[in-house]
Amino acid sequence: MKLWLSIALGILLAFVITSIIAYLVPSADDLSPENPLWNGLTKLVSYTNATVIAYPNVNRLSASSSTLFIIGLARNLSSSEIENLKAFVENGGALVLASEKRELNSVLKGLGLGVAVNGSLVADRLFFYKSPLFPQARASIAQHNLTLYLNYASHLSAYGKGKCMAYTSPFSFEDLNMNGARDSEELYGPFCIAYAEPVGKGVVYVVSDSSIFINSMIDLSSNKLFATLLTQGRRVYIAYEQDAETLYVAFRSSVMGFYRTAFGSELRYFTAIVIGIAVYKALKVLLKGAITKH
Amino acid sequence: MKKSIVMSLLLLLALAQYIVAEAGFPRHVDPSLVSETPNLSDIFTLLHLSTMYLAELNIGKATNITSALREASVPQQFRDLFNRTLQLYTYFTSEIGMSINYTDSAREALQHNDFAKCSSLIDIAQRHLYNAEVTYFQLRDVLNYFTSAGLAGVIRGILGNMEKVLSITKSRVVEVLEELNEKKSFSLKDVAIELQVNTTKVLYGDFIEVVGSVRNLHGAPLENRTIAIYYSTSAKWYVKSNATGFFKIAIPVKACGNVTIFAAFIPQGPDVNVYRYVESSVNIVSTCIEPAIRIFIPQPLLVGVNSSMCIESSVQNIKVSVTSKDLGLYRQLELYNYSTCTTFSVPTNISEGVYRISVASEPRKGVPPKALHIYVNVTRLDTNVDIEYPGIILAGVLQALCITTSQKALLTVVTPVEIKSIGVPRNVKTCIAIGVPISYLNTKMNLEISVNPLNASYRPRVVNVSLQVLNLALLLPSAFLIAFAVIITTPVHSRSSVKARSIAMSVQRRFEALHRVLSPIAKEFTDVVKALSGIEIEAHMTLREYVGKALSKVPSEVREPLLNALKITERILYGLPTHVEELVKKLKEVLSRIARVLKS
Repeated sequence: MKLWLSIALGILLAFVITSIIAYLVPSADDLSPENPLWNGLTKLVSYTNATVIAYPNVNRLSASSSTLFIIGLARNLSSSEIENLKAFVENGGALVLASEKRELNSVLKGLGLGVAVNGSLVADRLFFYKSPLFPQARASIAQHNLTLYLNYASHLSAYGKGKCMAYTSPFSFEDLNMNGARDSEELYGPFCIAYAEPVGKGVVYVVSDSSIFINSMIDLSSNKLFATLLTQGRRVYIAYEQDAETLYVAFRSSVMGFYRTAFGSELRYFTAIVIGIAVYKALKVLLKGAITKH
Repeated sequence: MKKSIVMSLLLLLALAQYIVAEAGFPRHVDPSLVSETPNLSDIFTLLHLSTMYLAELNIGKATNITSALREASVPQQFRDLFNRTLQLYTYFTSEIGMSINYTDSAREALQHNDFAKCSSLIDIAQRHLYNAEVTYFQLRDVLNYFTSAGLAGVIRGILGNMEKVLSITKSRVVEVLEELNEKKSFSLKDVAIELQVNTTKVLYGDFIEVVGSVRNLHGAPLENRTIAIYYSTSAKWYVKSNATGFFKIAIPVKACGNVTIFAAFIPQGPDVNVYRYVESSVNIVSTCIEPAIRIFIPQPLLVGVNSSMCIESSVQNIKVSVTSKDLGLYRQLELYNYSTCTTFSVPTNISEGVYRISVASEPRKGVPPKALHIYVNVTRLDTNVDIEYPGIILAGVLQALCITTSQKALLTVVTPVEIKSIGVPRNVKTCIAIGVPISYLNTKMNLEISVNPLNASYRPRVVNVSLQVLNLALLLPSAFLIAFAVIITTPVHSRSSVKARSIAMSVQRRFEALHRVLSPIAKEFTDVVKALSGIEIEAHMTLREYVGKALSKVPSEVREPLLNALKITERILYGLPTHVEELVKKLKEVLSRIARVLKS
């Protein structure tokens, strides 16, 4: 076989495979409701029958019958977006904010909640799943005693009128240097992991770990039940926006753009001619090689 | 086609690597990629903490920690073992807690003088403590399995704390028990025992009648109560009181001198919590004539020979038994006139040694029993044996082995090929033929000659002899073969014969070299002798003969140095080749001294 044909067929095969991947895996972004990989939220969407919306669309929701999840907080929200959230809760909506990053504190402050994300990593060498950095927490919600498995979680400093719903064990500790072992200056728990505070007619739930809900964690122990209990049987929405164009997104949009351009625009006639010539050339070479061999 | 697939895979790999590298979430990890972290040391540190609380009797805190540990994440391979550990520890904690609670309740009951309740409660506390002790040993065995996981130190600490709590709990129980017994003894009522005997003077072995009554302090008879009667011996007799509180029993007196007879009231059943142990006593005098027994046996005793034995006693008309289990001796003798003699023979199957003979007199009225032991030496006489045997045994040829013994005996000769036994008369030379067949390949033949005298009083003898065996049938062909091999190989390996010759020449050369070193010394010495005496050395002469001949013509003052020089020269020439240089130096000094004498 000629070299140019080998290269051409190789590129074609790679393109076909990547196209299949791009078709099957719509997103590889962390905490993306479209990401079916370990760090996505497709299972949460499926279990709660959730609808994905953008932040500006929050004010369109029917607050009294909706539960809104904001998981991982992709970007800093503007004051108007925070106001929208506040209005949603005050009108009877249930808001679930889950993040281990301190960036969430501006939203919490904007909502007037007496709680803040500490930002330090919580570890537990006695009660954990596989590793001390996957500590257990005990929650008590609606007469259910739950055991939650966390994944590189932080903890909450609560000082408001709300109530802490989930605690880590007394043997947990702040793992400041993230070595999985407790050093002398690292404080012992128990730490508050989930907090609920009523705001207006609604309620805000704050969880200091976004990854309780990711695909690889939601099926562990009571994590799924915890998510279901937070929905309170309401219609579930997940507010999500792509914060920045990641490589996979760029790659996928390029692949999709190519197909749209090649087969969806006027270029499709040219594409058909090119494919026809390519198939002819390839068949000619292949058949010629087969006849010569024979 | 293959090239196309390789190309596509390379492209995909590059793309995938880039995507994976970019897709990291700094504070979230895929749990399926995380391996299980071992945390046994943390768990056991906590268990240790729990035992520390337990050792402080803080059962609540200890239990809380244990409950928490029940849900701890334990590595898979230790899970079952840890669950068992926790199960046992929980049981241990619970049993300790129960024991402490019951002990506290018992103490409370004791404060209210409720002895029955206290007693039953402390019994339960003891039972729980026992359970805890048993559990401790079980747990210790289980914990041993964890020592291989590098937890030896913390496990030692855990067991130490558990031992401590066991000890504390035990001491608490014992404290309450002692307090209970003390209080009980103060509150128990006395009983009155009256005791009488029918006579106060008895002979050894007489029966004495003991009569008495048992009543409470108000004088009411205590019916059907057990009274123990005893005196200095270990024997006790029990009697029950009748409806009027009386009791009566006849007991033998088997003690001498002043004997105190006790009657003890032993509270039993419900009486334990009502009456105190009380005893009463009465003194009597028991007269005894203690026999002095002596035994006379000649020593040593010969096996199979009748020996006489006499027994002497200070009291007449007593029976004496003489026994020795090992010697098979059992005799009953009656000493009508203070002494008696008998004969006995040591059985022939008894081996030599020291044996015990026991003599015991039977008691009779007024005479207590007496026992003594003596040790006798049992032996046999030597048998003289004279054996004549050949120095070398020729294989295939029978040779005579002759023996003369001082006693009639059975001779057994054990050779490597046969065992021969014959009877040997006393002091008569008896021979038997011994030998080995041609097929015998060893160069030695070991004989075991056993002489067993028919008279058991004589000691058997065993003589071991090792004879040289000469097997001509093997030796001659071997010698022939060696000679044949030498003859055959000599012309063929001419190079080796050349080598052998060269070795012989080199040895010769070495001797010549040595001679060259030595001959000037001998020459120097003979020159000096010649100069002194004027006599030439002759070819057949040794140095000593030459000096002896020359000595008469040598001036007397140099004779001694010359003899000295001769000795040194002989040591140089014929002695060991050590210190030669030193000797040569010494010889030269002597010779120069002789020369100086001559000059002067």
